[in-house]
Amino acid sequence: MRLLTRKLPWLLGTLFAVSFFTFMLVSLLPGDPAVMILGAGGVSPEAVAQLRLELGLDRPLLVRYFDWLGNALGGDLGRSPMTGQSVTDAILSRLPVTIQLGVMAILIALVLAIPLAMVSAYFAGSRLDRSISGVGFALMSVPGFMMAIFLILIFAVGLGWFPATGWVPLSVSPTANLRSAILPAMSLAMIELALYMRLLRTDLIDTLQQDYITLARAKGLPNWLILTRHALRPSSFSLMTVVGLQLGGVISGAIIVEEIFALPGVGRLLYQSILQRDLLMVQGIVLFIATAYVVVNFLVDLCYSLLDPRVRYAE
Amino acid sequence: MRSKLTDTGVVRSRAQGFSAAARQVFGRGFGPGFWVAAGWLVLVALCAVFADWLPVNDPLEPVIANRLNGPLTTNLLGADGLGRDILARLVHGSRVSVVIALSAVCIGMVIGGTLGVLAGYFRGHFERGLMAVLDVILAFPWLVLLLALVAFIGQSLMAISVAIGFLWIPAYARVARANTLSVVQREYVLAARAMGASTLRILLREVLPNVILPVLAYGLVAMGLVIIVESALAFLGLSVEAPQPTWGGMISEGKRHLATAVHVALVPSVTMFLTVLSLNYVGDRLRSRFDVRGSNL
Amino acid sequence: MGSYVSNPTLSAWCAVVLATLIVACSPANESIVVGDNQPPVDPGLPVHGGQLRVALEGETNNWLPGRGNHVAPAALTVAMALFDPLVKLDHEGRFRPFLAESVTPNATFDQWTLRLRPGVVFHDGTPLDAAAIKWNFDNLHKRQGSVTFGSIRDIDRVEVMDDLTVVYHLAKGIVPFPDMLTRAVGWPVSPTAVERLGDEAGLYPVGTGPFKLVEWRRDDRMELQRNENYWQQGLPYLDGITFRPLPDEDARLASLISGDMDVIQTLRQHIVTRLRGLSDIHLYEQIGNSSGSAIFNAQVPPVDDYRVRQALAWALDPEALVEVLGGRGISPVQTQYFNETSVWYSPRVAAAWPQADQARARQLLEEYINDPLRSDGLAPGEPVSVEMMCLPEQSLIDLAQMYQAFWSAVGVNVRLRQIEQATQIQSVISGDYMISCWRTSNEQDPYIILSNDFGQPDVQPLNYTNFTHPVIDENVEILRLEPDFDARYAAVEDIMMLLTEQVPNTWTGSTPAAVAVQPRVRNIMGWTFPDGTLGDGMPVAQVSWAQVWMLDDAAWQAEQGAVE
Repeated sequence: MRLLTRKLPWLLGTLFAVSFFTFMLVSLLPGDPAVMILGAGGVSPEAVAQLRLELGLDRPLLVRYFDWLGNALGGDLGRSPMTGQSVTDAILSRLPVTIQLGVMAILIALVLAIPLAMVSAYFAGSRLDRSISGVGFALMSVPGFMMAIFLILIFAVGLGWFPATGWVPLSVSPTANLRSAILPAMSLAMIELALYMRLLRTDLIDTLQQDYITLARAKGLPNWLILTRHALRPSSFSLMTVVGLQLGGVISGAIIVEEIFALPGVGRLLYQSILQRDLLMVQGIVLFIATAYVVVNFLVDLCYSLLDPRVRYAE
Repeated sequence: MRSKLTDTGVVRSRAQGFSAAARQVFGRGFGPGFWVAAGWLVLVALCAVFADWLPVNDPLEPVIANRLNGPLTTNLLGADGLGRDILARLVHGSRVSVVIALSAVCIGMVIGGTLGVLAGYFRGHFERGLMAVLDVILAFPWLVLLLALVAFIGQSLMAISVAIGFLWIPAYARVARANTLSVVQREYVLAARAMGASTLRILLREVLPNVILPVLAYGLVAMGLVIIVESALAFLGLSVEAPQPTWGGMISEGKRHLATAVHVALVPSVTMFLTVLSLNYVGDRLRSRFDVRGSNL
Repeated sequence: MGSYVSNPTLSAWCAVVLATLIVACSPANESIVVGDNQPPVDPGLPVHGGQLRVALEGETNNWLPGRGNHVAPAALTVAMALFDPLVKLDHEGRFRPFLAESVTPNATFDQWTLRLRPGVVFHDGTPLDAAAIKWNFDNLHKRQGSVTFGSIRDIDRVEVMDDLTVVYHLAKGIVPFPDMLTRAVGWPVSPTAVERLGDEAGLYPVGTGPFKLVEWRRDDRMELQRNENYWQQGLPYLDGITFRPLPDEDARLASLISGDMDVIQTLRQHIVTRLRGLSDIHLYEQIGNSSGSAIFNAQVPPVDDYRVRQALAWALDPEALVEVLGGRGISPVQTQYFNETSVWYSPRVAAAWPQADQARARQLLEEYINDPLRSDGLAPGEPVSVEMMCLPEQSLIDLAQMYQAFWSAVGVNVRLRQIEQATQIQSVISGDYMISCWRTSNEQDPYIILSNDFGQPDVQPLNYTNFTHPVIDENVEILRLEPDFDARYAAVEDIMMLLTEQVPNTWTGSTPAAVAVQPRVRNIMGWTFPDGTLGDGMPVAQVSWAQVWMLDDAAWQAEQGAVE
């Protein structure tokens, strides 16, 4: 509890700074939203001036910021002048896609990374270990978009196993939903996989040299039990931290992957809104993502402190 | 007499230390893979430096008749959608990758490293403030920051380097701070402090030399990541302006022809992959030689 | 350490080689042969029922006319399902009332009386009457800040005469006025719905069209169902349509081949080339007037001098530009505002258009460079330098590099700038550019297009090139007031001949609009007016969905049996 009261002001301060930075960053982007709404066919200086007035873009930046922040605290992120959609609604309606994509990617990465890292750590230095590390290196060296393009080329165009683009919502058909999500999730998962694997391997090698592992060995416990029961548990904390810190990377990846696979997710909405200079939409989404990132990492931090006795006592 | 002895002793031990370090770094035990990777990197660097003198075609001259020709036909590695020689474009494109990788990492290293060392040395409000700012920056998806930065400062080679370099400041600040924190507690720093050495002198003579190696070792891996980031930017059409060939831009160009001429995207993809892989591998081997744990990032 | 032979880098290299081989071999090799994909001349008898799945080029930002971007092909084609234009064009390019019953001018063409059909209702049951037309005009269009404001600046007001009659009062006589009612300005939406929905009116369009909205999940799908109260008896044939935006051209093509989609649209030459090679589909094509172009800012030296502009046009080989776009044999090289199939096309202009003659280009540049009064202020003998901006879209980046190569070849220094759309539009509108990639011309009436593109820049914000000329002004006046086709044709030709000398912009190839369908889908282009007059097909891939049908299993098998 004491921990919470000490960390909460910090969290709120960070969130405030994030909101300010978001607003300024987006508002100062070159390009006039009024011109983008009117399009090349509809502009005249008067029309632009009138629309800027309607959108409230003529008011001073700081006034707009506090106005926006005040509404945002009440859960109202404004309404996009281009689409007429409420920003909150737009984010919420697309969130399931991005969350599903991110969760699937992280799950795929974890499901593959944990056993591989365990094998690697147990046989550290062996041929097997080196081959696994080699694959990890290779995966880390492929940008997400390249992975996406070649997955499409092989599995969608070449073999025809999965659709190349499009999204089927879970509510329509679970199997079709999985089919449409698998390639994008894979393209996101591969880089994460390599990261998790490397981290877990180093961590496990460390743990395996601890006294209590030697003790467990001496007691004659089977290897797989030592690995899963005794070695993995302490390492899971650092894994959790990295998964949290990598959230930003996953979201940046999702922007490109959703764009390539034409998925109706938050990342694609964000990218399109940046290009269209739909300022309220961009501000809302960036604030949402940044807040999610800060909060998730705060929670991870908190769990870490609560669950790991070493850290708890150190505090 | 006595002091003289100790002096020479110090000199000798330093010299020994250096040769040991050199042996450790460049001596036995890297294996053929390391040298293949290092060789590839040298090749890429040479291409970047001597692109204008190498016997390759003009990378900008379109020959419509050669359009989309495959490898080993009119052109060694084929021709792109405008009928330009892909090999020549790869060679000239390496220049962008090398320049951006070097300058972005340098920017991150110098600015981030300085901030990190200062934060680790002085601690207190400055450290807390800096870490708070870094936390805020890290809360933004890097791609969004990058898109915004590019919109502000343009798409020249220099602007792109600066924008990507900016992204590396937080990472480097953290590495430098973590290493400074561990160095500051060491006996020789404490001793220097006790002897009344000036802060600047301690920072330059005692702290910096011990922080710079891990920071440099992190550099090669960071360069690999910079190349990936640049290519993502190029994929969105927002990297260095045409007609300057870039690897990311070539992949992006090739995407249009995937169904009819795979090589246009495949050749630059493979080149970039091998380069990043080599950077990662060489960087990792060097880093493990310096035994720097990246866990404090 | 290190003594192990096996090592990760080597194995990774091997993996790359392997992956390369797999990838290189995997995609199906499509050789360019002409497939059997001609739609039948006689589409057969209409069949009722069926849900059509249509893949579009992109998503539309907002469905409220006057607020949304309704010039993109994806928006125009969906609009044909949701809304009905008051006026449409027939197969000879003449205006005919469609949702309206009649549109008649007075003697001076500055008052147009529009009579509505009785009994037409919007999807929500609100009647389409004169008051609704006036409400639409006043609240959605004639309002500073609306997207359509500029296009109707010559309409002063709308007056309600009786329940079904309105009069449009124009500031001056305009013969081709009905053209203004073919696009968003002429798509009535339900006033009650817009007022009820307020800010969200753009999300739930309520028109009079053959289909009404069920659900719109932006960037994913739009579900429409048959409008049971449609004013054209017996139409539409289909039970419903699902529109899906698939912006990636290859993916959209693949969705047709795999059968996931029944209809796809495209305006990209290289995709049309591949569609022509496919069998088991029906391919509909229609060439449009719109063409990729490079526009010159006539107020910025050195392109303020017509010799430089003309030289730059002579230096280009449009065939090569079209080839790079993948359009050889698909889209004819454009030389004027109207393509070869248009009634306004002039062979004389086509012959006069400057292109593909580098010697001529050098000669003109030489003249400019050695002119002591050259407009860019450089010393005689200095080479000409220009700057061109383009969007960071791949085919445009390719194109810009071709321009650069051609212009460099005649000794011009070219700097390319890639800029985002947001910045590009702003620069072009404010005249803060020298040369820009652009799209020029469209399917509207010559008066509308040319008075927009070459009006006085201080009153006409759509004149992006800032080019004006007395000859154009004179002939635009003829186009405004002259109903006789031959006189209008002569005026258009005069303007086009002037442009071959003055070159305010250059051209690439005409845009091919293509719609490819599963063979069961019929009557994409053969729509008719209520009186049976044949319509204008599918300009810019804009399909009139009310008259499209899809063969059910029984009809399909019967037809297949008849063939065998």
